[in-house]
Amino acid sequence: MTIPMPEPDLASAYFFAALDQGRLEVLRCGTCDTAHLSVLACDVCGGGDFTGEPASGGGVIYSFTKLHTAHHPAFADRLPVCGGIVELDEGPRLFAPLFGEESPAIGARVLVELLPVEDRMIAAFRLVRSAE
Amino acid sequence: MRGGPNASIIGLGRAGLNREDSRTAAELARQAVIAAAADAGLTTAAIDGLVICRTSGASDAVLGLDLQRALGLRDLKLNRIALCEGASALAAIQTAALTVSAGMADVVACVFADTPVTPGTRMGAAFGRLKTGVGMEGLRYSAGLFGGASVYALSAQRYFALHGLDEQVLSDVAITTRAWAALNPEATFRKPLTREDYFAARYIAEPLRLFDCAAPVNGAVAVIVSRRDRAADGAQPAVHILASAEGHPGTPDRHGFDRSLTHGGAIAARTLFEATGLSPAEIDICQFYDAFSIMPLVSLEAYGFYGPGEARAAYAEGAAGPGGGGMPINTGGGHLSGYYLQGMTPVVEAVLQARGAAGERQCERAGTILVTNDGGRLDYHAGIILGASEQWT
Ligand SMILES: [Zn+2]
Repeated sequence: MTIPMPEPDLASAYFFAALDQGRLEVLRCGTCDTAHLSVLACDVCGGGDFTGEPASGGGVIYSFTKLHTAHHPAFADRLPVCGGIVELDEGPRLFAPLFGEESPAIGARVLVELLPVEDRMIAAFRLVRSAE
Repeated sequence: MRGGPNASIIGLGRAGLNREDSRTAAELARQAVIAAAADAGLTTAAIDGLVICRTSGASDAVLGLDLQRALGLRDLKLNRIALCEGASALAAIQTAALTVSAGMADVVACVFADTPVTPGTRMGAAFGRLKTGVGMEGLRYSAGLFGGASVYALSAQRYFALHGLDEQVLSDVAITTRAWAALNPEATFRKPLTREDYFAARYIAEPLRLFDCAAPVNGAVAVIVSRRDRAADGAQPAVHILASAEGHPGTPDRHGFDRSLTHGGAIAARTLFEATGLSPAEIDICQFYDAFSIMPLVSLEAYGFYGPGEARAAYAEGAAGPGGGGMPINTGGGHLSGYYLQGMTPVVEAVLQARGAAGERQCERAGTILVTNDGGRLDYHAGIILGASEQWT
């Protein structure tokens, strides 16, 4: 069974459309330069004019957990499931699956890997070895 | 001092509160309202307002406005569903308080019911039903983060990382709360919890273990709200609603903000303390929404009892527990060891303490009690300050 994917809403339609075509994009506010992932009106300046641009794909873990109970059959054979919230280098954050050899930690570097889920794509993040 | 609503809680009713009850949520709700009216020395015929608490987390979504007919209530002046996720109980009580305050109804029942437990089955996934989400928030399910524990685990991880703490602080909360539950005949888990028991229990969502998570039950709670000046002749000591407030931070999911630790109590506290002229030091007891053990710590800091990362002092050496010498917290065992009926759990215990009816666990000073509710992932919050009638005439 494949993992559940959210239905896009109005604010996230652009993000998910780009993602499903294999691009992780942010929406840059034309007025104040704030980067968003899902937006109708900019909460910083009230602006409503946004331009899509590719995200670098890098980020850090804002927070994470390892789930030891499977609530969905797609996760039943891969416990514990590691997931969390990633802060992209552009600023905005999103829920994402986390994986890799390194141990997850708040502030740890991650790099996006887009993985197919049926006819959709999901942004998962691989823990990368820190510079030192 | 601005003052709060002219309203008091004059009746309290419960139904179920265990894992064996197989009645529907609607029937439990009906029984709880009847019990609350009887507790107030009234028949249900005296009720002229009804507010039903609903949350998207509750398992039985059919509890609706037709509860009026199930109760045989005629000529209601208020019939309303209050929906504010985990804060729905206090949102309902606030609606009732404002309505009676304005003279638009006289006797309003607020009720919550839920039946997450199928008797005879394993508890695990009571609140983790299959969901596919919508928009960015829906990505949590793609990441495997089902159930409340998964998102409050994110809060706990950040709390540890920011303040250099570990699971020890959560064990203090769980163990202290269990000590209160041991004194509450209505609590689900009453056996004392040792440090060893706590750490031996399985992880649900790291760093949250089994005893960091609420105890689900089937049941219903109802309260009757009436005007303060009418409450004096009631069958029970009136419990006054000194102030009521909400706080919904709407924290952005972006660099520079901390959504997983930003609690609406900081907003509600200003309203509550301004309305009453009280300060945190003048609160006798706190009844926090503690579906997860991290929540009382974050709540204590949001309400200004402690600075960021310092709330563990409230639980050090069991200070918040029975005979602990500190401010008592969650004196019925809370959600963690008592029973999880969402926002009504802390209300029940606050009313019993304010009446002096909490039996073995009765606190010496119970004149001024802070009660809180939380919903979403710290997105929605409501708080009230209750006053015992003997102290707040
Ligand atoms: Zn802007």
